[in-house]
This record gives sequence, C-alpha cells and structure tokens, in this order.
Amino acid sequence: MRKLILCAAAIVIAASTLSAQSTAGFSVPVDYKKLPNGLRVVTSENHSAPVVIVEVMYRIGFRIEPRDRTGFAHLFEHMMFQGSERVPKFEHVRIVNENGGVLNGSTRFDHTNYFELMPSNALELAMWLEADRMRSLKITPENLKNQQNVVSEEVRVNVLNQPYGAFEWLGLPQKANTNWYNAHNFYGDLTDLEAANLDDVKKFFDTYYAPNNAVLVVVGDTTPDEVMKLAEKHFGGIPARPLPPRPDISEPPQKEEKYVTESDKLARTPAVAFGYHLPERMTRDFFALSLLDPLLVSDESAKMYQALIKENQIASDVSGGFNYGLGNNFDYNGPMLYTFRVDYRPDLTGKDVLKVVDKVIESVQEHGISEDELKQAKVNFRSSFLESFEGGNIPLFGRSDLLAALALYDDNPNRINTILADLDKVTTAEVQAAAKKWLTPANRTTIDRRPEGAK
Amino acid sequence: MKARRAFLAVFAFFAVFAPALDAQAPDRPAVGADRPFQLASRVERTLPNGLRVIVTRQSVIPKMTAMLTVLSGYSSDPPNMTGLANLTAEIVQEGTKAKNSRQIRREIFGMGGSLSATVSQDFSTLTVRGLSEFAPQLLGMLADVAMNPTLPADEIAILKQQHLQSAMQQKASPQFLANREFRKALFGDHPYARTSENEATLQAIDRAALESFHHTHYRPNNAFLLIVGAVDPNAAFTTIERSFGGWARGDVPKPSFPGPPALSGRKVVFVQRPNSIQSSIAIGNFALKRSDPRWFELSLANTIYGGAFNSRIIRNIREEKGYTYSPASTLTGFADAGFYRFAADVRNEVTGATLTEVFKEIDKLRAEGSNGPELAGAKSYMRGIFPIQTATQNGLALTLNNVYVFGLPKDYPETFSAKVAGVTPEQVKAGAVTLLGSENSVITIVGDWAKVKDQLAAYKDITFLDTDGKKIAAPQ
Repeated sequence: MRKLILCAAAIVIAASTLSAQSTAGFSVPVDYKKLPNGLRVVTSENHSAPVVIVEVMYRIGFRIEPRDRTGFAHLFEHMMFQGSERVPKFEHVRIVNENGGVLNGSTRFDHTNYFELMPSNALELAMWLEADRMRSLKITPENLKNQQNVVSEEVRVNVLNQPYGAFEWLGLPQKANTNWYNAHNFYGDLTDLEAANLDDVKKFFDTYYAPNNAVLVVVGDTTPDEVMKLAEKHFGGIPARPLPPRPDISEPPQKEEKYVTESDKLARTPAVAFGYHLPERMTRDFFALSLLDPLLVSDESAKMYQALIKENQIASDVSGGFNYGLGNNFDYNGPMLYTFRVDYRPDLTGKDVLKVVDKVIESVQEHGISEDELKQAKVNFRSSFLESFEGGNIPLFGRSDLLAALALYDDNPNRINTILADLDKVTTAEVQAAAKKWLTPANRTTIDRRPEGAK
Repeated sequence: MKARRAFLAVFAFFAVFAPALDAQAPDRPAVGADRPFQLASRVERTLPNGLRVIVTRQSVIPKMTAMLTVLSGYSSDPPNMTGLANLTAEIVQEGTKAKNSRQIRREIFGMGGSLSATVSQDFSTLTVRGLSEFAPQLLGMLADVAMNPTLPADEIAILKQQHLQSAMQQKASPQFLANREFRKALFGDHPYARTSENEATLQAIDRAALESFHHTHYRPNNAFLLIVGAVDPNAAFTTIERSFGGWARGDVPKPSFPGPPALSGRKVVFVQRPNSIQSSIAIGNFALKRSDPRWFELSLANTIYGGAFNSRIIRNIREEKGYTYSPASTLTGFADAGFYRFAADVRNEVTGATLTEVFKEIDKLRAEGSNGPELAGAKSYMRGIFPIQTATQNGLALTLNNVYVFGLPKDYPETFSAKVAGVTPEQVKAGAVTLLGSENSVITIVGDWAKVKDQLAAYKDITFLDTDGKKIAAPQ
C-alpha cells in the first residue's frame, strides 16, 4: 500500500497524494464562555457551508421526571413548540421553515435538546426563537390537550403498535434497574400522559428551564464573537433561578442474573435483548469497554456477528452499544446499560443465544484481545467519533449535541478534542480486566421477547 | 371534563406565571442577506472501459465515501426472483478471489470503514466509507468486491437464511405492509410494484442466478463511481485507473417497462392486521419520473401540502386535531415513472376522519393553488435546506448520485436554487394537480377492520388482504 501512495505522488506532480497523513490529529475549534446568568455558551466555527445550527440543551431528562407523571419530560418537550410570549403556537415552526431551516427536539435520560438548523444569515433569528421560549413559555389548555393526543399517537406508533415494542431500549432499563429514576417507563403510561395539567407544565418549566441549567451551542458559519454578542443580547436578560438538589439516581450493584420472557402479540419472530450495567462514564473501565464495544458488536467483522450469524447460524441480526437506541457513550450522566439485541431463529430460545454470547465474552475474559485488535479498535472508534461530528441526516447536529453534553456534564466542551487521547492509552490488559469485571452474567438482565403462541 | 378543568387553570397559571415581560426582551430580528453557496467543483472522467468517475473534495471531516452504482436494480429482477439484485449486491461482499468474507470485514473495520449495499428500483450501489488516510485501500476493496466476487455457497446459504427470517419479521411491521401493498396496488404488473423479496422469491434465488446477475449487470459501461471526501481528485484518479481499469465491458440488457396501469376512482386496499391499535395509512397516485423538468413545481406543491413541518396537512391533522404523530408526504421519482404518497399512523377512532381531511386539503390545493407568503416560504424552505442536505459527505454523495442515476443536468446542484425561485404560482397549481390524484387514488390501510369499518362506509371499492398479501373475504 505504501508503494501505491508513492506512485500517486510521483505521477501527479504538485498535487497532494490521495492518501493523506494520519487523521489522528484532527480537532475542532471550541470556544466556551458563561453569561452572568449561568448560561453556558459554546461556539464551534466551521465555514464550509453557509449553514449554522443553534442548539439549546437543558439538564433535565426523563430520568428525574415527576414520579406520578411518567413520560412528562418528553410531553413537556412538545410543549416547547406550542408558543411563547412573542411566538404564538406553530409560529416557531413556520418561522424556521420559511427561512430555509429545519428544527426538532429530543428527550433523553439526563437532558432535553432543541435545535434549529438554518442558513447562517438566520442565526440571530434562531437565537431569538430559543431565547423567547426560555424566557416566556405560554401554553393554553387546547395546546396541551392537542399535544397529549400527539404524544399518545407517538407512543402508539413507536411502541404499542410495533412488534417488539421498543423492548431493547424502553423495556430493558425497566427490568435491569431498581431505582425508580432509572427503572420507570420513560415514554409514559398513556394514563399518566392524559393526567398531565397546566400546573405540571408551569412547575416543570419554572424548576428546570432556567438559563443556569442549560447550554447554548452554535456550530457552523459564524464566529465566537458574533455568538457571544447575540447570546448576551437575547439570553442575557433571562434571570437565573435556584435549582433543586439533584435526587439520588445511583443504582445499587446488581447481584445476580435476571432473565424474563415476554410474549409479543405482534411479532412473528423472536428477539432477545440483554444489558450489562456500565462503569461510570469517563473512567478507565469505561474507556476500556468503549474500545471493546466495536470489536464485539459494531459491524459484520465483530465477534458477536461472526459467532451468532456466521459460525453458529442461529441469528439473522445483532446490534448493540452504550445508551443503545437513545444516544452514545457520552451524552448521558448517570447509571447506564451496555445493551445488545439479537434477532434469532424461531426454533430456539434466548437461552440458546446467551450460550453463544457467553462463549464470546468468556474468550475475551480468559484470553484478552490481541494488540492488533486493540489497534484496529482505536482506528475504528476514531472514525465513528468523527462520523458523529457530521451528524448523519442532520448536519452539524452530532457535533453540537456532543459539545452540549460535554459542557453540561463535564463543564468542558473541549473534551471533544481529548477523548481520543484517553482511549489511545487503553491497553489490552485493561480491556481484559474490564470485561472480567463488568460483562458477567450476574451483572446482566435479559428480556426474551417471543411471538405469542410460540413455545 | 378534564380539559374543562384545565381550562380554568390556565388563567391562574398566567396570573402567577405572567412571565416577567422584561422590557429588554429584544424584538424579532431581521434575516441577513443571502450568503453565497458554492460546492467544490467536480472532476469527471470516463475510463477506457466506459466507467464514468466523478470526484469532488469535501473536507469537513477527514473521511471519504465512494459509491459504485450499477444501473440495474429491482427492475432487472426476473419476476419470480424479486430480491435477486439485492442479494447480489450483498453476496459480492462475502468473498473475492483474494480474500474471504472475514478478511474483507476485518480490513474494512481496521480502516474505520464500512462496506454496504443499497438497492433501489433502477440501481444497485456499493458504498465504502472510511478514514481518508486509507483512501487507496478503500477504493481497492470496492473494486475487488465489484469485479472479483467468488459467491461462496456457504455464504449464500447464510445470506438466504438471514433474508428469509427478515422477510418473516417484516410482515409484523404495519408501515412495511402499508408500503408494500400500496406499491403493488398502484403499479400492478409494472416492475416498480416490487419493493421486497418474500419467502418464495428468496427460495427461487440460487447461486447460478446470482452469478448470472453479477456477470450480466456488473459492468463498467453500466456503472459510475462517485467519490466525495477529504481526497485530492487528481490523486484519486491514479488509484481508480489502477483499481478499476481492468474491469471488462459487457452487453447489459435494459429492463423493459410496460405502461403503468390506469388508475380510476378511489381504490382501497385493507390489510387485516389483528390487534392493531392504529391504522397505518398510505394514500397516493402516479406522479412524474425523476428527470421531468416539472419536478420543481411538484416539489413545491408537496412542500406546501405536507413535505415540510410547516405544511397544510401537518398543521391540520397533527397540530390542530392531534390525530397523528408522524404524517409524511413524499414525492418519489424513478427512471421510468414516479409516485406521490401520503402516510400516517392514526388511532383507530380517527381513521375515517383522517381520510376526509387528507382529501379535503388535497382538493383545496388542487383547486386554489398557493400564492403569496405561503409560496414564498416554501421556496425559501427548499432553497435553504439544499445547502444543509449537501453539507455532509454522505449528503452530498446522495445528491450527486441522483444526478447521475437519473441523468439530471450536470449543473443541477448549482442551478437548484434559481430553478426553485423561478417557479410561478400557475406552475405550482398545475404541479398540485399532477402531484395529488384525489379522485384517482390508491388508499392502503393496515389495521383491524372490526375497529374501523363503520368509518369507511363511504368507500365501496375495497380489497381485503392478509399480512402475506393474499386476498381474503371481508373480516368479521
């Protein structure tokens, strides 16, 4: 391969070679400041297209929503599109679309985010829209009722009318965890969603939607100076508010294996999901398992795929990851599962799948991984990490969302440029030790989801 | 009752809450002048064997995408072997003369890469993506799987088993069923009716069929190679000539397209899915093939009807009535024909009401068209999201791939904004009439008949199917 590179250079004089130098040194610009009211502001310049993303992330997710209101954090996310003092219902959507942009929001374990992705000449407009709803949410009973209906349909289309019912990301935490905060139905029971009232909305907004509980991130065709000037103008006048103490979300260590079988009225074929409690985020064991993860379950090369689909031929698909279905390794701040889902052959059970899984994991625990595998895992992780910067179907969102999480949870968005160095230090011995400690049956919860009527 | 009590609460809420209307809250800011948008130039060359190669630099992150598109897809499948193009695109990745499946996957993994296939009606695309520092190796791998696959029997058996299980699994998904039956009802015997393999067509596919499909269709004169990423175009060509230069030409038959069947009346296909708590609805009709110059007017009509969040049908059935979470309105164009489709999942109780609103909005847009701020807003939306869609390597690659698959003008990305801006209100009205069939539509509903039948009494032409797609009597 080296020869090929030299050839290219020799023939195309004065042009760079196709194969650039190692991409390991790639970094992104990060500017981080705080307004006097406590709002964190992050800017990451990128002028490759006349596009900008404005994201506001609040440090309130579904984990600590009110106990008698399951699904409320997410229902409240919908409220944030229902009107504020200067922006009546649906105007937010209309203004963004009619100025060439798209918008959305999402609710996760420990935060809720909102973004506008716009032509960069509309940067100030997007910041004004976000500031207005942080300052002055304004909800009518009709709008609440309307979104209770919409969210109920969302739960139906994504959970109740779907085969498997989102069991791998919605069901599994409810079985694996014991602390209510980690173990309740995050999407919400329909009766709880129905019961929500305007008092709940007001209380939730007053309690959590304060500038000192949020971060504003702007990525794209702008500068830190411009962003800070606009942030002060639009968000500077919103007063800070006292924040409640954080509840105890810690999860007692799991002592023995849990295994449940569920019957599925809609599915035609069985699937099994299992999750291991993860070590705390950003610890040495966390980084070690972050590198084992791509070797175990990233793609067709991975150990699980090779064992389940190629060698034993007992499954049609396997997937998995940290914060599976809802995020990535970095965008949460509390107890978390490392989850796998396997779609397997109808003549077997989940226990047959676990036998093969355990062989794969026991092999890592007994023999470790090779230096070559570790090196490849590091390259692969770096590539996936950079991929997330692009953000898939939502350009720039991956970068803004990661910066927001690192600002909220680590008070250090520049961590985006140092995480790979932490991973680079991981050794094969650390990977083996972390696998021994964390990937044990006693630390695992399994849901075997079988078509109704199947044996 | 609940809503009424809540209504009283709102006044208390704002009396206390009355969000400190701080005088400093700034007024709505104006939007600045348009900022210039210019994609990097594309370098295009054709190799002596007929392979067209397009390379463009996009360096936001140090990665690259290479897409090798063969201009044969589902439409080239023999009728009894739906899925052959799809399985061919997958099996070529499972072993070459130089490397077995496992070696291929391990090498790709170690370059931070992926190798995957996408098969559509008119084409099959093999895509490699990875860190740009491995560009020559990634391109070499792409060439190897496209040109030298060995199609090992054991890998074929595994692949077929996977697809058989997926085919069974998919039949539980209401959205999958709605789309499959919508396309069958709309396109009839036209190859565009085929969207997915099933147990029977999968069983019919054997090694000889896969080998023949590859041998016939995977030819450089039936393909193009598109590269987008942190690469130098000139340097890339050297590698490409080396990797793909030895690929031999062939005579490639083109699929034949009968005219699509005529559509008259509102034809309902009801797929009985017991235990459904929602109706999964798809409504639509024929539209235009992708290369039709009227595409821009139809796209604007679609944006106004339901293609953007800020659109008539979403405002109506989601934000006013709360019938659904995820209505979608899409215009799809293929090489030979195209179609319009509205889709939504709604609770059983509002199935009939949803159909009423969908057709009410359709008839209004067809009759009145759109003008003024609404049309201006739709134009801004389409013009604004184009630079957003092309801001990533993959997004740009997909946009360019459409240009070359469907033979769009080479300056399509550069002229997109001006063409959208130039559409007149009369053209949008005509576009709405072409886009939205209204009286001549296919309506597919996947749900539980007993729960919704009273709401569908107005529809007389109803065909009932089970989830295998077989005709059944009206369920009780």
